[in-house]
Order: sequence, then structure tokens, then C-alpha cells
Amino acid sequence: MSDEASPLGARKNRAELFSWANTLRSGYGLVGSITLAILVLAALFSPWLAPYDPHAISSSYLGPPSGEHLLGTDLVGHDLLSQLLHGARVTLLVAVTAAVISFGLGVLIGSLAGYFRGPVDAVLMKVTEFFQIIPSLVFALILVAMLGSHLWLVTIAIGITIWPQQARIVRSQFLTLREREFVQASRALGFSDRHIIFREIYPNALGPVLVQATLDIGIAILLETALSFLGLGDPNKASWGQMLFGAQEHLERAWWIALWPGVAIALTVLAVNFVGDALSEWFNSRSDVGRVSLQKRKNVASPPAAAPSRTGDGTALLDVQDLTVHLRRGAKVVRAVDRAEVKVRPGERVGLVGESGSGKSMFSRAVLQMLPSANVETFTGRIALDGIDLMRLNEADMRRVRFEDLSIVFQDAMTYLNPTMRVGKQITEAMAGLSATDRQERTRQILASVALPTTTRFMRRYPHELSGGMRQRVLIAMALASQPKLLIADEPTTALDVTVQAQVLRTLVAVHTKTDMAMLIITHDLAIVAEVCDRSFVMYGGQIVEEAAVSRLFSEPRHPYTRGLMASMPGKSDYRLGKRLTGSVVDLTDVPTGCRFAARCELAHDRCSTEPPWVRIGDEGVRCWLFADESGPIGRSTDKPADSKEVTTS
Amino acid sequence: MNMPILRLNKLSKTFERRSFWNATRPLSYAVRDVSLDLVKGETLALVGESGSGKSTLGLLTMNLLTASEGSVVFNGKPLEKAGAKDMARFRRTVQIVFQNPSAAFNPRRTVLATLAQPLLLHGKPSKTQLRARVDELLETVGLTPAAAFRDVFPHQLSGGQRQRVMIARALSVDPDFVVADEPLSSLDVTVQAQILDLLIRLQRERDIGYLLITHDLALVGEVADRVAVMYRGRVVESGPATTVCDAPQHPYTRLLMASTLSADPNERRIGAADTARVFDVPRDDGAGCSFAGRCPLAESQCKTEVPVLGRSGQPGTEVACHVIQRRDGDV
Ligand SMILES: Nc1ncnc2c1ncn2[C@@H]1O[C@H](COP(=O)(O)OP(=O)(O)OP(=O)(O)O)[C@@H](O)[C@H]1O
Ligand code: SF4
Ligand code: SF4
Ligand SMILES: [Mg+2]
Repeated sequence: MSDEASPLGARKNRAELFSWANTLRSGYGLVGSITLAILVLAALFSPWLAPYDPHAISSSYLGPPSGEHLLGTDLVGHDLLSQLLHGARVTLLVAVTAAVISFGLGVLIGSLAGYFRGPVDAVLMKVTEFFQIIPSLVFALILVAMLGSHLWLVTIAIGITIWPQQARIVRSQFLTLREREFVQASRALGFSDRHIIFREIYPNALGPVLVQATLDIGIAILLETALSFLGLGDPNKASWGQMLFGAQEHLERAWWIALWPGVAIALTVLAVNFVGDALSEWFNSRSDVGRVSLQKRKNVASPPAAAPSRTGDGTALLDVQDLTVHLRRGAKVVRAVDRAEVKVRPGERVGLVGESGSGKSMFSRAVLQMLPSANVETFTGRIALDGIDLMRLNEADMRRVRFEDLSIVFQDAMTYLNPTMRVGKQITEAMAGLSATDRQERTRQILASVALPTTTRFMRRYPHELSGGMRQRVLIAMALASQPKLLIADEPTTALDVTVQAQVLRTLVAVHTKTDMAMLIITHDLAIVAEVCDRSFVMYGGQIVEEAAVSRLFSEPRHPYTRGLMASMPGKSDYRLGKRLTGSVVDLTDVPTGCRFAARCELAHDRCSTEPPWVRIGDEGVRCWLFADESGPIGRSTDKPADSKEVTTS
Repeated sequence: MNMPILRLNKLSKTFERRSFWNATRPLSYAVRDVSLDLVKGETLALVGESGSGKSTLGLLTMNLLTASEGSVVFNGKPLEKAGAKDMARFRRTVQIVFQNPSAAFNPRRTVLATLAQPLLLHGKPSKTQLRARVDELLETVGLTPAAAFRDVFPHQLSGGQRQRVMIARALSVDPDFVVADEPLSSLDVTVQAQILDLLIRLQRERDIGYLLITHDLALVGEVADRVAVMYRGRVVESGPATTVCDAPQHPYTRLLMASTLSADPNERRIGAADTARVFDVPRDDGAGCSFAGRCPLAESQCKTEVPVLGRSGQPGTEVACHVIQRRDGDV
């Protein structure tokens, strides 16, 4: 997928910082952090904050909250507010220490298991499982009963009780990270195990481990409370748990004694969990796996109110005009698509070819109204499918269009299949209005049409049990299930084997000839366009730079970029001699004012510092000054900005 | 011909999966009985479908996986008998370039740090030497001016640039042989051509040998000297690249060639043939030819007897197919 297509992959450290701040700001993370900060400060400064010495005995005992004792007093006459503040110290100390112990044990055991694998792993994981199976409270009880109930013994007991989850996390991080290519590369270069563990694996495993450590604090607080409540806490250290324990007998006479520590415990645990969740969300948002959320259209230039809802020229099934999609990336604006004009007629097979980062994927996601959440800066233009203006549909109607008329096949099958649902069911779910047996039958037909087994055994498989080519064909099957009018295939065969690619393409062609479905095939591979398409658009730097019938495109490419692409195709006769394009695709956050291809173009000349016009040549077109010559630019006054005026030659 | 740098001698690799009761059972052969010679200055292309064991063979070659049977012979000595010194030499001699340049770097390390590490590991350069050497590497792979690339993080580079850094990292130890596992397939087409030019230039300048793992047959015809076709873990055909590409013998190789896109809209291959055959990939029970389930030429012998690599009618090529061998034997 192109760069813009993974907006979740934060690109700059600064941006990461911002997103961390964002997560915090976004509600519960912030609440959790502030609550925790207040608690920690209160615990630290309790000697100064507490109105009384916690051991001082006042004349009123079992006194309800009053002006003198804000939270009331207990049986002995201790001031509960003071007790609570001092208790925070004890409780937090126990919890944090226990979490640190759990962290140490978990990291040690998880690392050993994950790194050595084999028998070491088997033994350690058995031990871990054993610890996980026995209920932690029971285990802690036994430990405390054996060790005694000094505060630090209780702390150790809690630490020993809660480490297994951490160990499992560390181990699984090891197992996944050590398969990652950069770790393999270090091994290939001959680095020591120590280096690999400390320099390659740990820094990258940090996220989930920290999250677990945070959650452990909450778990430790609860355990300490439970132990104290059962009378196994340290009686000399007034933790919140001890306060609760002391309150047991007076619940009926003096509810407040139990209420305050209870509230404090609940609040703290909640706050810790909030922070843990926020942390984990933040870490997840930094990895590039994430679901594309649906995005409401923004900044839509609303057409005149009188505009009919069926628009566009009657012959086009998909009629995209003037489509512009700009996205925010950090402080910059990515001009992913600029004034793109694309038409697909019913039953036609149309290609959209361009390198990654040329805006192809954003184009298709714009058509589907599925742009990445929150990052859309500008989204204007007109997108009509079968006369219906998609830009003006509400989300529910758009969902129906996506379900019935418009299907897409993505490149990265694994991210788009539901890993926990059997493949047969996933295909069936994409069908509307059939009886259960008809669906089964239709599923079999579709599976057969994409050259997949039609056996029940196959349908009961999960995506991860399939090969890449099979997954891709399941995805195509899902797209076909609703019998759409238009199938958009975004890099449908990238990363597939040649034989499978041939099958998948053949499948697409076969499906196409049997139905009147139109296809828009988005690819970086000109060979696919050559094989399957009737007509093709070439995209560069967010703009359509050429449109032509495929046979002409190959025999006589017009745009210098198209010619460069042709020279990059192995198998073409001029491949070895061909002039390579230098450099790489233009940075869409920093496009030149003139021709976007100028920096790589051998034929660039002075005119090219202003934006070249779209030169229409019969049914075809090209965006390049070289072709404006023939008849001279004829500005056609349209509602477009002046710099995109069209030129027509015949 | 040069002496081979590495000999792969009857390599096999099985993967085991722990079952519910922890008893281990062999899952399947990922690589089976593969012998190849890897030669300095020569490109051996390894082609085959995904799951055929190409990457596994690449990792075995690099000794990043241990073979279940057979051995990698380096300097006349099997690697499992090699001492620390031989291993260090092996690590300097043979390097790897991975397919996915975005996954192949520690995201927390700058380009300078990435390239400096192997240099520090295999020598004791001073700070200025180190920097000079890194700059030289960057320039070798076309990342100029080096100063603009030294201090950036991998994720701030484009895919092509990252692939160049990966190649620079492989070059940092001045290897004689590079295993390149799909080095182009994650790149833009115009950038692919550039990286390919770079690989070819390095080969010419430094006489590096490549094991080029690829699924792109058009590429094989362009750059490879020899080619080995893998199917289900075995090499089923091998020989000079031009011969194998122009006159494929093994039925699987023919299928591969027929599946290659033509790059010419007037000579379409897709759609010309009838629709894809429907098959559930048959279980390979080890008996017989593993291609038999898909093979148009299959006979009864194919289901019972495993064909072994043997001479075919084409000069210099070997084929593992009963029918082709019999045909060529009769000629
Ligand atoms: N770590 C592993 N554990 C179990 N099985 C594995 C493992 N790695 C690979 N395999 C299996 O070994 C076989 C060969 O895989 P390999 O990755 O070498 O194929 P490949 O030809 O490189 O495929 P691709 O073109 O998709 O990269 C496959 O059946 C695969 O499922
Ligand atoms: S407008 Fe100029 S720079 Fe752009 S492609 Fe044409 S000749 Fe090259
Ligand atoms: S041995 Fe038989 S099944 Fe195998 S490729 Fe040859 S003819 Fe086909
Ligand atoms: Mg592979």
C-alpha cells in the first residue's frame, strides 16, 4: 500500500509525542493520569497534608464526617482523612514494589523462555501455567501464611503471585520479534545473543510490557486489599486494606469508615487501568496495523442546491470529476489526489497505474468514502456511481452502496480478513437476501469461480490456515458475493506467485466476461494493465498524467513518465538499454508549483515551471507541455481553477 | 568456472509443530534434498511459488536456520564443524538482503548507527574511520550526499532508499556472496530497475555472487546466469537461465513460464487459456512426484515414485520428471 494509505504509521518522533499527548487528552487517559498524579502527590506529602497525626486519638470515636474531622473518625478516634492519606503511602508503596517484582520475574522468565525456546521454554511455560492456574488470592494467602505478614513479605508474596501474565507477554514478544527481519539481519551479521536481546528485542518489546506493569499495580492493590481484608495484612501498617479490615465490624454503625478506603481503592485501580489502556492504545496506534475507520466527508464543496441527485454523463458507471483529497500528516499536508478525472463505463476494464505514493490507494478509498479517520484536510469533487452522487450520501446509504454496488479487493488480504471467522462464513456474510441453503450453494459457486476448493473442510478453515494466494482469492470471493456493478481491485495480485497471479487475473477476467461488472484495476504493474485492461489511466504525484487505450499506451506512450515506466519493465525489449528513471516519486507534502514530474523528466524545459494543462487528444489525454504545442493551448473556460485549464487538440 | 564459495549439500529442513500434548511430530519438509553450488561473480536465481521453500533455503544458506539433514559446505568444511574463527569468516563472506526493507531495520537506530554496528563488530575502527567508511558505503549504494542520510531513521526514508541502506549493510563486511530474498518486490517499479542496476554494478565491480530469490521470471531472463526452480521443497529443474527460460522442460516450469505476463497488450496470455483449474492443494504424502496433483502429464509411476534430478535433453539442464527423463532418454 502506498505511504498515504497507512496514516496510522506515525512518521516522526514529534508526531509520536503529539499522539501520546492526544491519547492522554482524549478523555480517560487524562482522567486516569491526573487522578494518579494527585494520589501520588497526596501520598508523598501526606505528613504535611494530613490535618492530624494519623495515630493521634481524638475525643470523638466513630464520629461521622464533621467540620473537625472531614471524613469522620474510627473506633479508636483516629482521624480518617489523615489515615487515608498515610494509607495511600503504604498502599502505593506495596503496589509499586510488587509490580516491580512481577516485572523483574516476568521479564526474566519470559525472556529465557522466549529466547531459548525448546525444552527451556516448555519447562518455564509449564511453571508459568501452574502459577496462572491457581487462583492468585489463594496462592498469596498460602504464601503470607507461610512467610508471615510483615509488610515487605506481603509485598513479595503479591509480586510472586502476579508475574505470570508479564512472563507470557515478554515471551510472546520475543517469539514474534525474533522472527522480524531486522533481528534476523543482526543475526546474519553475527551479533551476540546479548546484543540481540538488549539492543534489538527489549526496546521494541517495551510497549506491551510497560502496559502490563501498569496494570499490575492495580492488581497488586486489589490483592493487598483482599489479603488485609482477610486479616493477613501487616497490622502495624495502616494501608487502605487494613482500614477496610478495621471497618468490618462497624459497618452498620459507621459506614464511613469503610467507604473512604473503598472509594480510594476503587478510584486508584480505575485510574491505573485507564492509564494502562491509554498507554496500550498509544503503543498500538504507533504500529502500522490498524483498522481503517470510516470517515465522514469533510469540506465537501456542496453543489448548488438545485443539482439533481443523478448526475454525471449518462454513459459512465463511475464518474469521478475534480476529485481532490488532501490529508494531514503531522504539520504537513499530503496532496494525495489533485483534481483527478476518471471515468469507467459499464462492463469496462480500466487500469489505474502508478507507483506507490502516487495516490492510487487514496483515490480508491475516496471512491469508497473510506478515507483514514481524522486526517482528512480537503475532500472535494464529484464521485458518481451509476448516477448517484456518493459524496452526498449519508453513512448508512453509503454502507448499502458498498455492500451492494461497489466492492473492493485489497492487496493485503490478511489485514482485511477477520482472523477469527471461518472463511466460508466470511463469504456468506457478504451476501444479501438469500436463504441459508442458497447462500451455501452460492458460496460454493463463488469459491469455484475463484479456483478455490468448494469442500466443507475448506470453508471451515480460518484465514491464517490458508496460503497468501488462497486468502487473496477469498477476498475476491467476498467482493463478488454481492454481485457488484463495479469491482475496484487495489493491487489484487501483488505479493502473489506468478501462477497464482495468473489464476487470480484469469479469475477476474472470467468473472468479468460472465457478468456486466466493470472493473477498476489499480496496480503498479504495467504488465497487469497490458494483460487485463481496455483503457488505462496513469497517475503520478497525485495527478492523472495520461489516459489512453491500452494498446496505444503500450505502442506509443505519450507522457515522459509513462515512457519511463515502460523502460522499467523487465521483459520489454528495451529493458536493458532503457533509460532508467532516476530518483523516486515526488514527495506529496512538497509538490512543485510546476509539473510534478519535472525533477525526473529529461524533457523538462522552461514552460514546465508552470503546471502543465490537461491536453485532450480525442478520447485520450495527457498532462504535459510537450503536447500543448500542436495546436497551442486553448483555454476552455470551466469551473476549474485557472491552473488546470484544459487544452484540446484533435 | 570459479570454485564455488558455498556448496549446499543435500540440504533438508523439516519444521516441527508442538501438538496439544507436547509430543513433537514432523510437520513437513520445507526444503528437501537440495544440492546447489554457489559461485562468486555468478547469479543463481531461485524461483518457485510461495511456500516452496525458497526463503527457507536462503536462511539455511545463511546458517540462520539449522538444516535437519545435509550441510552447507564453506571452505571445504561443513558449517556444523566450523569453529568460531571459521564462523566469523563465514559471516563476513556471506550476507543477506531481505525482501522488506521496512521490517529489516531496528526502528530505533539511525542509518549511521545501523551501518556502524557491523563495522564495529568485525573490526576496531576509530570514530573518523567509522564515519568515513559509512559515508563510503552510502555513496557506493547511491545515497549521496552521504551527510543527508547518515542521521535519519529508517522510517524516514523511502522504500528504495531503505533497500539501498540494507544493501549497504550487507556490503559493510565486504562479502563475496549475497543471498537476496526478493530484494525488489516491495519496491516501486522504477525504483526496482534502479536497485537492480545497483546490484548488477556491484556484481561487476566486486565480483559478488548472488542467490537471487525471486518470483519474477521476467527478471530471471534479464539477470540470472543460472536458475533453479523449486517446487514443494525440491529443485525440479536447474540449468542456464536462458535455456530454462526459452525451453522449459519440467511441467511445473512450463506452467510458470505460461503464467508470466506478457507485457504486451497484443499478446495477452491471460484469458487465452481456459479458466484456472480448481484444485485443493493435495496433501503431499511424500510418495511420488509432488506435482502430480496438478500435472497434465502425470502417469501412474508419478504417484508412487519420487523423480530425482537427472539430465534432460537440453544442454546443461537437469530435470526431476519421469516423463521428460524417459522422453529424453529415448531420443
Ligand atoms: N517457522 C516455520 N514454522 C513452520 N513452518 C514454516 C516455518 N517457516 C516456513 N515454514 C513452511 O515451510 C514451507 C516453505 O516456506 P518458505 O518461507 O521457505 O517459502 P518461500 O518459497 O520463501 O515462499 P514466499 O515466496 O511466500 O516467500 C512453507 O510450507 C511454510 O509454511
Ligand atoms: S510538462 Fe515538462 S517536465 Fe512535465 S512531463 Fe512534460 S516535459 Fe516533462
Ligand atoms: S514426474 Fe510425473 S507428475 Fe511429476 S512432473 Fe513429471 S510427469 Fe508430472
Ligand atoms: Mg519468501
